[in-house]
Amino acid sequence: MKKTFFLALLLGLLAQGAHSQTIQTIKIKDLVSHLQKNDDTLRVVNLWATWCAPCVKELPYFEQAHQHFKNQKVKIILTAIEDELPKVQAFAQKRKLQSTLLFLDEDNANDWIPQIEKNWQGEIPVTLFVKQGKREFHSGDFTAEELMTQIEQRLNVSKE
Amino acid sequence: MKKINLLFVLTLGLIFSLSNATFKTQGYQVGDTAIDFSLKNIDGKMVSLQDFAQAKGFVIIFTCNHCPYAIANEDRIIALNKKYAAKGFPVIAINPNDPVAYPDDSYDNMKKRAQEKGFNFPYLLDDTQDIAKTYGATKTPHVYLLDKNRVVKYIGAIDDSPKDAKKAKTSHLANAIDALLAGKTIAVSTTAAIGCGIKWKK
Repeated sequence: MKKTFFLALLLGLLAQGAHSQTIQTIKIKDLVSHLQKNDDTLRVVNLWATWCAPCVKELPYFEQAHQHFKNQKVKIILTAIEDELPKVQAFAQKRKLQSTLLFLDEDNANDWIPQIEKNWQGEIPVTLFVKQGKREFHSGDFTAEELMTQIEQRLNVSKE
Repeated sequence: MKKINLLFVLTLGLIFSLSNATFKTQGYQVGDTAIDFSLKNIDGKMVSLQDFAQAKGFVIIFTCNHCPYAIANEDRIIALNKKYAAKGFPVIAINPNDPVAYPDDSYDNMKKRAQEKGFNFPYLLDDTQDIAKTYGATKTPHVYLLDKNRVVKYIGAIDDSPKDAKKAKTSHLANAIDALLAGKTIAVSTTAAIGCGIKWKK
């Protein structure tokens, strides 16, 4: 009986670990609505692409943050931009990504970039922190520690 | 009292550094006058804008070796220089990346890439990254079109299809140069496009 239970547990864990989250294809208006959410969940929206080396380098840190803050009001949203869906799917599958995964299906960057941040020139990676309708924009990649600090700072503010 | 002052200064400093880290809005806007520079070309010689006595303006392109979007634009940059250098608008390419972060963007690799592709324009190393910072470049490729008085006339992308040249419908940069040559107003003077963030030295 005990053996069966552990086997089931093991299988369950394996099954859970073997798949990445499904990728939702969205348009710019959908992405903007994520950035306008006015509740006390901290949304960490990272914009990345499979061809962008520093983006790929920092993705594991976002995944760690997803695990670390699982039981708190934090939502990590990895949004692939200027990419091809099959490439993003293959990448997500290989890395077994567990954060929320979005794929922005837009090509006229000159139209959609200013809707995200008017001063953004289009460099990636960038990350937005959204909480209670407030949107903060960060250009450049994070170290694991920097990302943790960025999230913790914003969580602590609300407790005061 | 002194303590309070110190605290105040420290707090201000913290706020400033935080806001600075979150987003920098320095750099040129259209209408600003850009500074000249003296940067090392791939042939070892220093290049300045003042060296181009006949120029009617300058096409400054921050670019690099490693970025897929910079690579996707190499042929377009060569073609632009071929067409517009003769009309008085030479292309001047500047690599601002930290070669520690991107070994592909080292000075030696710049020389190699320029030779492989047959760059017909100067390809300069912004070793201190001061020029990229002063101009406000954030990514590669990132274009600054200047007139002969170094007044910024256009900032942004080469065209509306940074990855695939065949899909380009509007040649923003060429249109801006054509307008300058014809003494007309530039219709679109800034464009945003996706590119690789410049890696700043730590």
